[in-house]
Amino acid sequence: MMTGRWLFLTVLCWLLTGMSTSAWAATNHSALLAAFCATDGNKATALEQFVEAGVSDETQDQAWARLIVDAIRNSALVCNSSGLVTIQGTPPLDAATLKTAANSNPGDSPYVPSIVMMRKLMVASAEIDLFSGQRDTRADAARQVDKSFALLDPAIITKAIKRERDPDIASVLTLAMAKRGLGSNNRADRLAAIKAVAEVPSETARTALANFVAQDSVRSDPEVLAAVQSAIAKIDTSLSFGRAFSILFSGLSYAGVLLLTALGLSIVFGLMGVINLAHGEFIMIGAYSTYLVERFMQAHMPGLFDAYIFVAIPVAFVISAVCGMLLEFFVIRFLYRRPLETLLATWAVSIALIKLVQVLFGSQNVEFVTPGFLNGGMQVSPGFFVTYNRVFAIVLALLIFLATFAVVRLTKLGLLMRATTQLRDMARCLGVAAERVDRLAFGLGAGLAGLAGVVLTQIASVNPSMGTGFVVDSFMVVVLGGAGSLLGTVVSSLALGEINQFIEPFYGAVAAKVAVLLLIVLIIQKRPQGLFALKTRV
Amino acid sequence: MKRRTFLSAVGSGLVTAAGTALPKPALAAGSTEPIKLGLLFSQSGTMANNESLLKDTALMTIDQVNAKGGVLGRQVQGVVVDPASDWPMYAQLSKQLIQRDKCAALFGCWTSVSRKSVLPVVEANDSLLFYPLHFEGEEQSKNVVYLNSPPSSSVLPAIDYLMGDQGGNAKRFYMIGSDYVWPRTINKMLKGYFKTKNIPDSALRERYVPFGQSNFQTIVREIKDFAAQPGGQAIVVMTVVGDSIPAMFKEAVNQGIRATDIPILGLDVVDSDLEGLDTKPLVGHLSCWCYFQNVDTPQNTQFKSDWKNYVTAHGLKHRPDMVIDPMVSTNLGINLWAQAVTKAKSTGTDAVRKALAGQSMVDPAGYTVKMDPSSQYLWRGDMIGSINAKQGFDILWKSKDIVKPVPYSPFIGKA
Repeated sequence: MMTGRWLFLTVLCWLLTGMSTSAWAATNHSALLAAFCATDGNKATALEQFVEAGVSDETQDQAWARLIVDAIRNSALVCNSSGLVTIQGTPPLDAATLKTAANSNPGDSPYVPSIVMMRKLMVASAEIDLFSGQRDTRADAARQVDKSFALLDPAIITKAIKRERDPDIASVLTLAMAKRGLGSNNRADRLAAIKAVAEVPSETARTALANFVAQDSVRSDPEVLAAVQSAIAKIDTSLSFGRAFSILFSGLSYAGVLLLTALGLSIVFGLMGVINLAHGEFIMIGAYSTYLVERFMQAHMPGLFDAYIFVAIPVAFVISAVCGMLLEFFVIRFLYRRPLETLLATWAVSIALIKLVQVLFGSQNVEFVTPGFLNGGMQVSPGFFVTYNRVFAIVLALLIFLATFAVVRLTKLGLLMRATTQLRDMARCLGVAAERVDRLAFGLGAGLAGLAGVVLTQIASVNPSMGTGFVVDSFMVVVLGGAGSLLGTVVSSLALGEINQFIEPFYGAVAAKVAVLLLIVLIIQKRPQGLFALKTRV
Repeated sequence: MKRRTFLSAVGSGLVTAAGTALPKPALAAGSTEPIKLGLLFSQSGTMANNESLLKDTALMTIDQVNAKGGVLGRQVQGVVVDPASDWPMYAQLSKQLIQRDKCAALFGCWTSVSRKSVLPVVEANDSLLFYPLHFEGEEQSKNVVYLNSPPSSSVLPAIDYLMGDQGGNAKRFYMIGSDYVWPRTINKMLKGYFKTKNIPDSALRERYVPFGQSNFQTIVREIKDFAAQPGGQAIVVMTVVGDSIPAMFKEAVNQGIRATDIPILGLDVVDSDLEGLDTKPLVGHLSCWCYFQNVDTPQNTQFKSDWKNYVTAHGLKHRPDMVIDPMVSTNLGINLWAQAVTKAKSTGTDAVRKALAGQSMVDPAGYTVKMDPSSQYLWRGDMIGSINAKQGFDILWKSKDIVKPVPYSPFIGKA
């Protein structure tokens, strides 16, 4: 009797609590959404409610809140005039129950967050993520919270620090709290916060301290003031190292682009002496070949999509090289030793190629999906941020240079090329098929330009007239380096890149360009043969 | 003898031809010949991409006007020429359109420099140029009808928004532009404006890059540096044009800048500039125009479907689902011109100009736009758009009503 009643009561209780929790959740969800959608409601307060649900121990609530915050961030949350709240998509979802909902009225448009709201939303989703089961998600979230420390909710972060088992993540969160703790009125807290912030120098740390030192209460306290000033000085030192490295790096990456675009020309113009104004168009052909490869891989091999850039390397090289050899066969071979006519003819070819591509692809910029591994970058040291696409360009430029150098110096083709360019008649007397060598050399030069096109898809915009901008730069590099010297091309592109990027931060991009061009004029006056002259007998 | 009769026949023929040709403008109302409109948009060269959109919008609008019976009982005909993005060519072809083709009015130009080159021609011939772009202002001619906003009613409201609570209380401004008249004038005006808002010079930075610059490493690094200095939230006011827009956005994304850290207000960014970009990391950056295609009005739905049908029916290479502000402005211009001609019962410049004053209509953005009688600028609404993940703009803010255009900014010359 007793046990039976107990059992009955327990079951009843269990049923009741179970039912009430789920019912409570659904009504609560609708209430939160209604508060958010109210026309006179405070969206920020409503968002705090979502975050509260998101950091609660109920995993279901947590997932729901994350979803809602994401929907608001993506401006997909629609407050319908009927009172229903839906998440846009196919099919649209009822935001409270996450079940399929009817399509919303055409008149109801989604909520578009303002910048302030977007900041809050970003912190909100980071705060919710701090309670995620995945370590990486939590680490990302912690970094995000640290970046926007001014907006964090201390109660939630304290809770997260308590629960965090990973010491790295916990220390990032503690640092964020310290940056925020600068605002405390207690001197000991302040000093501790300053020390903690100075430990990890970064731009946000500097901003925090600099804003802090501007306050009157800090200025009147000599001890705190001294501490914060020495902390700022310390951060500045490490930041200025970072800045110097960044200038060197961007010079290097600019040099990489120059080297890539000039390498082909250093063979065509430098070794063969052909003034090829269509050089930029071979770059463009390389870029469009990459585009075709990208499209093809996207349609037929989506699994290997990210590798398209590597597939494009041989494809672009071959296509550009073939185009180059055709140009040599049909136009240039009739014009050797007639520089003016070559110049005019190649200019005409350049315009014809631009128009042809315009007809085939249209004149707009073509769209490239950057492979995942080239997106974004890495903070190497405080103040020194490296983007992957530039690293890729530098490395590829170096590899391509080494390969070209090897071909010219070590292979038979290279030997014949050098022989033909140095003393053509003698080479022919010794049985070198000069015409064939010319064609191959021209093809090699065009192919190298095509490779530059592949790399440039990740850095510059790709359109039919993209090549024209690079021709001048390429000629500049080759002439300065000394016609015919591959090493000269490397040195001059490195010099031009570094000088340009060294001037730009101080006097602007326009002044940098002017300075570089003037420098070239001066050098060419003193050394018309370029920096590295090749000794030839013509 | 034979030869003489032939000559005299030719001679008298010429005289009669001249005789009928001369009084033609006076006959306008009774004639059945089509009224000609000159369309001065480049279809080749650097501007081809953008201006050919406007050319086709103009032709579509002319078709629509004709479908409703034309103007004054006559059909309207668009005369298309191609100035090839070559500024002096705009002047030459506008002269040809007015003098040889006897066009009643001209619609055309995108860049300010092309408008400046046409200006003396329309003034000398007393014709009308309808100009569909937002620009730097500081100009007012009775021979130009300005269909889009001067900066005072488009740029300044956006700056105000960003300086307000909703926009994140921007206190410091990094101005980066391509090196030519439009960015320099805008920034000059902004500097004057900031002075009236008590923003110190140390909170401003102004940089220019050459046309077509694609390497923004240094600039973006400097922006990050600038944003890390104390003194409040920093924003970027970007007036770079053309290919520099995607290049700048790409570099900002790669160096980790998001709209939540440093918002970029791109004054010349339209949907077509976002075409080649992955806009997910760009969400939240801003632009300001009188119209964005996401605006939800019946007029806009109509306009967008008209454009879609026109593009598919004529097999054009444009994207059928993309409409930008200057296209809407071109459409408004032709419709307002048609209204004015109907009211004036004449296509003469003077009569049309008089009738144009005060003309109004509902534009696709949902505002009742109105022609200012004294300045010949169009009163239009103003909108701030925020880039979304779908390569377009969501509307973040819009003005309650149309805004008075102020051709000459009071803020220029203050800094």
